[in-house]
Amino acid sequence: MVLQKGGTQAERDQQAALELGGGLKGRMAGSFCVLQSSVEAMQHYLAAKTDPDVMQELTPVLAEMEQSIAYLSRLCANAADIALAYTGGFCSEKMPLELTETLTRLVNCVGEELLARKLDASLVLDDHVQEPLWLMADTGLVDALFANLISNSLRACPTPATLRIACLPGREPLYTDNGPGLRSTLERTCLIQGVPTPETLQQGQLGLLLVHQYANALGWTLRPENGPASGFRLRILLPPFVPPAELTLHSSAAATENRNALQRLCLSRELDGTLGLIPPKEP
Amino acid sequence: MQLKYKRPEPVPTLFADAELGLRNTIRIYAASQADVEIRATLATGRQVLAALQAGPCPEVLVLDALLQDMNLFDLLAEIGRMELKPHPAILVTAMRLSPQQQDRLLTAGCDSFILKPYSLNMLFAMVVNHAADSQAFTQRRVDRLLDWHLSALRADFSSKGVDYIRCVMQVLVPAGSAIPFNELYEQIAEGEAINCEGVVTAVRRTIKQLQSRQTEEYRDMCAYYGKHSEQGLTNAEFLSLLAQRVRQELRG
Repeated sequence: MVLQKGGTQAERDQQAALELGGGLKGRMAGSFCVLQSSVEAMQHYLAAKTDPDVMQELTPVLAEMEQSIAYLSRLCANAADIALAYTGGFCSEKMPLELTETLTRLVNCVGEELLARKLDASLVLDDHVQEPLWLMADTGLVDALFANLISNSLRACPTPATLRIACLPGREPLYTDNGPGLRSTLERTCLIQGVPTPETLQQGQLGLLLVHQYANALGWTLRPENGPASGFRLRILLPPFVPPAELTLHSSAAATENRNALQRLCLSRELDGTLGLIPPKEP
Repeated sequence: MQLKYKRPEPVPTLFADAELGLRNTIRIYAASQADVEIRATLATGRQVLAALQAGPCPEVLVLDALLQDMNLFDLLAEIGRMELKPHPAILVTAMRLSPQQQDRLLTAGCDSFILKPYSLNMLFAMVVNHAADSQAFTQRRVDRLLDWHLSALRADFSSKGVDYIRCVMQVLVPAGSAIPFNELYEQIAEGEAINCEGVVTAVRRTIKQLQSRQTEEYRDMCAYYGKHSEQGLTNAEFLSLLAQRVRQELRG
């Protein structure tokens, strides 16, 4: 679904307002927001109003509720993305994006998340091109694709987990990790063609399928590789950059700050839903 | 999320969301923390406009993108037309926001966004952080810092000259760059319905009084200019240095 270009200003405003609802995912997000905030409000209220003994009993229960909601929220969002991919396509608004800048911000976000979660892991960006890498892309889909790759790697890799993104000549960035790599031809097929593996169908493991769907929506081609060392190697073939007729760069300080915050939120939610919530700080 | 500045008083905030469950949880959460004062939880855009018109103006507005009775962009436009002083920071909560939508919202007067499902801890921290940057909060901080300096100088807080000095500081401190004093005097004079010379004289008289007190603070200010305290400071010297010191303290 893309903003209609025609119509009066009032009609375009009305459509823009409707799109803020976010469709199927938006409806889920609204309900999960009520659920999540209810648990949080209960935690705070009980901490302030009840005896410490009662709170000690309730704390693990409420923490479990909070974690389950995070898992469920992520699972529902992923299921909605799979459904959207097979039915009508994602809400996709492509805009000019400089990928190296996006990946630099992503690396910073990941660093903060790894520190907050006390994970023995690192994500490094190797820029071998040192030139801007422009493409037309939906930033939400780019964030979601990399968030899924990273959370898959963090679950699969031994510690210390080493993740790398290399920007190489020829518009073919390479993502690698030091994990076990793809376990079967079926997983390769899932990544390349979007064909679900038995694990996908029987155990609900959606990671590789989602990465394929996001890449497909972006017009990217995924090519898993075998390398000299073990580990997961994924080459991403980017389409050529065709600048739009009217170029609008979202470059104000407020826009950049908000963009960074949204990227961090996407990653944080993915990791909350796969690795668990960040434990609250000790008082 | 880390709080930027721990302020002593809670941030007055209006919260609007069509979802009753969320309004209830916001109220419950707000009751067990002291950083944010939820003045009202509202369900519709028209209720938001009515609350803003009734006053007093909150420092932060949290508006959901899907208030049932009004298109968000229309609501932001209406709020803009109200010319609220000081203008509240506006945070929008939404299910999803493309970069184009983000840009439109920023242009329409929104300061920041948070996507659902959000953590209440994060939402409240955003409210506090945006209030820390707000005009109203800066004004109060300037006033408090100024009060400290004027007390150290043993100023007479009931004098008109001190009032005029306060007005000058409210403009000069946030500005961070030179503003001609005559312009400031003229603005104050217009507001007071007196002539500019009256303002200049009142300020000069106050500074003369401060000189007569010979406080350590005053002597220190003179020393900054390489002057003996008996020589005294001109209006421009006094106001510039005071603004510089308050600005430094504001930045921490």
